[in-house]
Amino acid sequence: MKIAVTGIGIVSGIGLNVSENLDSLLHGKSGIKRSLKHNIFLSEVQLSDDELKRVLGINDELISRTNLLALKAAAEAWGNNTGDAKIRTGIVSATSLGGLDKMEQIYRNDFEHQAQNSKEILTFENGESAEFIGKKLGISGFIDTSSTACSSGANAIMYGARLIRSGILDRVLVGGVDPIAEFNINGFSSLNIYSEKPCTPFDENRSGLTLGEGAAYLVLENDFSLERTKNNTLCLVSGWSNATDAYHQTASSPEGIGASITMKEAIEVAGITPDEVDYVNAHGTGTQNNDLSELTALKKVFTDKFPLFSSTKGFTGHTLAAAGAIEGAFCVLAIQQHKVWQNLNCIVPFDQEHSPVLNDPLAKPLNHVLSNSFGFGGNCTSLIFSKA
Amino acid sequence: MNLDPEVLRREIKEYIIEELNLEDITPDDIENDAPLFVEGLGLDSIDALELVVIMERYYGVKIPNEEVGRKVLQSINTMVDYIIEEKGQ
Amino acid sequence: MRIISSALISHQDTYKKEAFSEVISQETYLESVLHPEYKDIIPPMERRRMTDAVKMGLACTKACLDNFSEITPGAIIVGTSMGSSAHTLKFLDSIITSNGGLISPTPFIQSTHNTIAGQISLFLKNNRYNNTHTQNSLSFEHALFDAYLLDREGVDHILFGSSDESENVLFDLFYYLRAKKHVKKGAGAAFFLTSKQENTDENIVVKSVEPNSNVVDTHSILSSFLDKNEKTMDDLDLILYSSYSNNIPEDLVAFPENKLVDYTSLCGDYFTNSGFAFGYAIDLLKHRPTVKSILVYNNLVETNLGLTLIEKH
Repeated sequence: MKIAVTGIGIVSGIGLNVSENLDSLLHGKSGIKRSLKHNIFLSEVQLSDDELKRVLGINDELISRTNLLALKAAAEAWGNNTGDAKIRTGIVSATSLGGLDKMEQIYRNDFEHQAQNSKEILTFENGESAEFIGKKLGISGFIDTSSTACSSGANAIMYGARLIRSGILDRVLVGGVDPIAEFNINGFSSLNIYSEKPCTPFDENRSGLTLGEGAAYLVLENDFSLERTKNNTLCLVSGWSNATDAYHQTASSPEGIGASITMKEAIEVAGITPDEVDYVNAHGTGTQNNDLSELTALKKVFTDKFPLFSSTKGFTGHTLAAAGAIEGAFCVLAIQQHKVWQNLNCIVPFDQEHSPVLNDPLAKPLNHVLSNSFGFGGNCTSLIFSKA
Repeated sequence: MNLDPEVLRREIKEYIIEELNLEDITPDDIENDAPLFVEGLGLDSIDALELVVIMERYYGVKIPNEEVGRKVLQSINTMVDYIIEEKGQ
Repeated sequence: MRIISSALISHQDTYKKEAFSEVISQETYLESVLHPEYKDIIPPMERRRMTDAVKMGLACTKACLDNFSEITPGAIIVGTSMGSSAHTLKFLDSIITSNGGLISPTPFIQSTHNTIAGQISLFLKNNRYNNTHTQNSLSFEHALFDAYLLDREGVDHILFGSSDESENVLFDLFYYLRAKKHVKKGAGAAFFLTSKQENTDENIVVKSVEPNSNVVDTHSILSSFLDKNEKTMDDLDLILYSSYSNNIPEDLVAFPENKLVDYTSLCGDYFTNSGFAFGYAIDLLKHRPTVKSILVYNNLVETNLGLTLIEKH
């Protein structure tokens, strides 16, 4: 069964919509800058909460940045789609922070007393942003949120694809969102994996990740839905797999156990061979541990022909639960544009024989593209996007 | 700050037990020279970060990089030596 | 999908207690969760960083696999609304009090919602599918739904369940603002193991599960759910329900009252208490011969409706 991607929406540090993101990818423009507020490098969405509200026409005071970013991208992806009682429609979203950014603000203010009557607390729950998108776009029924740390967004796409393949739904809005908050900045700093310079995935001297924020959503449809919506097919979701490293709560195994399982299985689900994968959008966070483990796994899976690969986190930073969705959308753009995105900031690849794509976006017809996302808890997910 | 090695050894052990939630372990169970990681007390990479926090929070001693960390966080004795070295000056 | 094993930790004496459903009542509800001795279940070096949500999940996992030690679960799926929320608050506290100094990373690591599922995979050295669903009052139903899908896709021995702790103010505040009733604060975990193999005598089978969000009209959802399963209300031997208000849900008022159980009165209010209801239903099916078909009607949050049909064949 074909699972078509018919819409994408992106908001990230490199653009407020798909065309701005594409422009940055084409011209090698990174969104990572030194933040004056936090005094570290971040890839921030260049709109304040108030500006996002204005753009979205929302007056609610209590809304979290998570909800605003999610709606910005989801509304773009959803486009002119409308409710249709015959098309069984659902949402699978992803977030790791939920409305924690809003929580953080009230938590500093004598939380227990003030929050008693504050509806702001309602934004804390992780599933809230998915319900919110649903309300705004007129979607009810099957609404779910995957939360597996940094692989959440990819898991949402996978789950949406599975729901369609199983005949449960005809059309699903899938994706993920995470804002930048004190919580995640301090979290990754406390783990000693926050880079002091913009992240340099796959570089010999990489020294950690740079956080980013954003959201991306994709509309997935089956043939039945396509017949009714008449939407254009951008590309297909053809393969997916999730597996676990079962090695350590936060670190990846040096052998890349989980990552090699998911890549192999996703290739199997897509019904192709490793040789047919033209490009891999790597997880590539820029930590010593991730990049070494991931490249080891890549070498295990691609034994005959090594594919072109790059991490786009030098553009967007690591957007946590949004990463799998944003990078999924970048894969859709790669297929549409016949381009392999460059890996920014890598000066000396740590493995000279297996270098990521370093130069200007490489023009190349792409039939099958693989995207990796890995998270805490050893959670590994690989997705395959294919030309329609 | 009391820089008597015996006092420091005792204190650090108590901090480690508390901050690392080592139930069922008393300060006497931790040998001064035994390795803290893997084969000794069995600590892991997250504990290493916790030990760095303990050194800074309770003794105002910074561990600037992993290389220093590897040397300093070998055993209770190496931690105590480092505190005395940094603070004694 | 057949359920071959289950384990519950709750505000009742349910852990490893066969036929608990015949004993527990509103009167036996305990003030706090009745935790098993985790010391006997989880090794100390692993246990020391774990939150209650994780420990409950692991203890239930272990109990589920007690009689099936030869089984390697084909997937691990967890539903949790709040995850390890106590650690989330602890980490926020330490950010505020540290004033820019170093912060202990442990609460941050534990705060991610998938720590429960991740720790189970580590505990079992399991490399298979691992997912965590967080959809407030429907988190359990979504984990169950994922298991149901995987079962259809051919995966055997799926370990799924839910866990939510309540040692903090978050849930109170959160629920307090949504509920229109007196809240009985609860917490707990419930885990289950599936099998594709039919038993010769009796089988507990999940017929159907349907999580619905942004719901306006629960009545039409319930009727279409029953229609799809070729059931009428009369075919149901019991309905276990939760409600956002103090009243019996409108949809169920016509149903005989002696066949209605408000499960929140047994396990307390928390967003994955439908996991408890599911385990309670399984225990009832196993031990009460007359009960063959149970509907779990989860309307803990006004705009969410979870429907689960469990049967004995």
